[in-house]
Amino acid sequence: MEKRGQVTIFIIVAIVIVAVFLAFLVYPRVRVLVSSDVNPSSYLKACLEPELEDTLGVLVNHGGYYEPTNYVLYKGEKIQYLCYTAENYKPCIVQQPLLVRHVEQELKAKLGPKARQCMNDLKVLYEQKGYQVSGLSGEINVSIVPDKIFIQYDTSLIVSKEQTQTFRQLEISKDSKIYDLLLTATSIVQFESTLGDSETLLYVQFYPDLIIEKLKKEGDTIYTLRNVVSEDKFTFATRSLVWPSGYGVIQNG
Amino acid sequence: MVNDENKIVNKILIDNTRAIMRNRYVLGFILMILGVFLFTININFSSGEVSATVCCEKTTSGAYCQNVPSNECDPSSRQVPTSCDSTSYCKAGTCYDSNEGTCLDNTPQLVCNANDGIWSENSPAQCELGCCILGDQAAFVSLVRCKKLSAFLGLQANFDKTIGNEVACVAKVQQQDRGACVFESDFQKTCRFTTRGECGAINNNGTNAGAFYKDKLCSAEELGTICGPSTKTACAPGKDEVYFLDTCGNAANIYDASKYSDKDYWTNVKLKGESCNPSSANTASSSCGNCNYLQGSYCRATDVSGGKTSYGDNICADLNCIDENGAKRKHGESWCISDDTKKVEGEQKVGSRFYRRICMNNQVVTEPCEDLRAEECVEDSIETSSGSFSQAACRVNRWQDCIAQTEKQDCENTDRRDCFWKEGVTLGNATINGACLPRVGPGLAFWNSEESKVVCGAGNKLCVVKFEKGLFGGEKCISNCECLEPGWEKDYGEVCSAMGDCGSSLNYVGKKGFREGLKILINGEPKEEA
Repeated sequence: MEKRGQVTIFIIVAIVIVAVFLAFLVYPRVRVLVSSDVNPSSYLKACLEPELEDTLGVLVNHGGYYEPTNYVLYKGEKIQYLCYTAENYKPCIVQQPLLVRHVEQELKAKLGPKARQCMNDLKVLYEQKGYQVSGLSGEINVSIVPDKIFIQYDTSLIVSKEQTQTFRQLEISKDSKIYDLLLTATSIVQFESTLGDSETLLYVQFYPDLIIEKLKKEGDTIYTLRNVVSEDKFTFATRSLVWPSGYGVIQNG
Repeated sequence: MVNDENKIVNKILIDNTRAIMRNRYVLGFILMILGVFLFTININFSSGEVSATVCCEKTTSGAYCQNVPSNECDPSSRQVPTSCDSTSYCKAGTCYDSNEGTCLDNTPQLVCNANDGIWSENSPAQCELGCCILGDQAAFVSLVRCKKLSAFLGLQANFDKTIGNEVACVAKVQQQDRGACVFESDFQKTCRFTTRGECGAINNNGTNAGAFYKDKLCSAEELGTICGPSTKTACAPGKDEVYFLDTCGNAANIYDASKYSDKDYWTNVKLKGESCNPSSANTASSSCGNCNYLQGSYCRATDVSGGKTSYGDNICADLNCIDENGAKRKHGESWCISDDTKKVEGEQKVGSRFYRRICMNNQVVTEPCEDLRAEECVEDSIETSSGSFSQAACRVNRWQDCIAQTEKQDCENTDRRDCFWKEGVTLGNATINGACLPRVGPGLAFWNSEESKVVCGAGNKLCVVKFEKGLFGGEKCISNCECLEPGWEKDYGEVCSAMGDCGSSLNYVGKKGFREGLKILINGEPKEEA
């Protein structure tokens, strides 16, 4: 009888541990759901943030492209060429100007559907709490600025129960130094396309928090820019002023 | 008679001229037929194995505006049999980003337009640079960029296009008066530490009338503001040092723990030279925040760089490094290393490579120079007041035309090439005594190219030794006898190795290749080892 009681206690303890563990895993969601009054901005942030982290993680490792189109394969990663030449002995031709805008568009393309899904989930949540919801559709805007990434969801969300609340714009932000890294990458591309190479120490002189790793490999150059304080990074590739092996004339196949 | 002779001469000349003209027509006709024939061949090649080079809008690999063989061009994109510089759509120009206010050169027109940029063949007026003053900072940028940066910092745009260079721009901002700007806000006398110009902008709002006190801190008691001393510190944008903060969040003087209770230190602006240990980097100092970037220290939060301070959470972080030999290296210093430990001209191991190492932010970063020794690392150092400072760079290895040089002076012309002159040997059938060889032999992609055979083949040497039979038997060497001497094989083995990854040697990890690399044949038979 004593043994059976002990087993029951063990089972209860195990269930409690698993429940605590699960609660810990889905904490951001729980935090929103348990609050008596749902805040659409907080909900959108909790819902969209993991997708933002994942997408940004892919973009910064692939030269600002979610699916690189013209790339060098390095350690299993496709790294987009931002400046490229197919010829030997010539400086590269710029392949991606307006890099900040391009990364904003990539983020928008990936986060847009997820944001809409989050808003639909929010509607269901409101309706379960007895609210009436209208004007869910909206447009997402991403802007990358110094030290931050802003995501704005322009909508005309109207939530009514006893009172009516209207939300015109939901905004979430993330601390990030990616803006500075993208501008440094653009400057390196400028050097590569003009002079055929770049001097990394020049940037370190002006940006004390920056580390630039430069790897040359069979004519390709892979740059990794890293902020030592925030640990943000951005990797991209160039192919410029290539000196082939030997005389670069006779090649098999 | 003379006239007759002249006529004959003239006739001959006229006949010759006609003959030449006739020959020219015939030659022109033949050339025309040949041209048509060659054109036909070219078309056949184009449609067959060999593709003509075209300017391709987009290649099959996804690159834009490349001069590539036509078979590498995406079939759905435009291609013209000319250089991309001669086309309208791939011509390189300046791409202007109207949102960021930045300009990017060498951008093809179609790439710029596809990304919503504004393309122009020459640099447009929007790209003209001027001095942008951002509080006590400056940037040498375009007008639109200046407005953008000012908006980021919440400042009014202050752009001066009459300043034509970056140095003058920085000098201008350093000449600005700085001090306490006192004004009323929410019925309280508050203060902001700023420049006279920015203070004027605050006053111009009308609601916040105030006054500027040059070289005074906001915490000065005599100003009677709500701002006072605090134990907090901060890193100021664009500044090396750690600064005390007053209770209003303004930067005060450089952090000096011993001056925390000093009334004067919280009243008047002190220059860097008047602050604690101005000649030292003050790395990891708990009491002094007078960091010096050029000496290898910079303001960082203690949770990032570690260390403890008497007040606040910021410290002079160490940016310097320790290299692979345990030697101290300064931040920004660079040096060369190589897989070849012995630095002997013309003796590089197979697979070896040069590397540049850089000390950046307390980390040693390794930058490999281009593989196959297409680049070598060069290094020099300068003497500074705090010791020697090393600078290194990867630069192209100009070995390609070494073996074509027949004069020692041309060979050793370091403005043109990287070669050395080896006395006592000749290349091929040359008659001169000496050979010009690459100082750093190139690596060769021998596993996927036939070129290594060509390059290494230049090191082949045939030596015909003549013997004369004696009247009573025996024989005597009479020509090219030096080829029989023991040093000859060694010398030509070295010539072979200097050509690149040729000859008999170990690779950079100390392993021997699968092939011999060097053969010595006597009368077509391999030489028997003694």
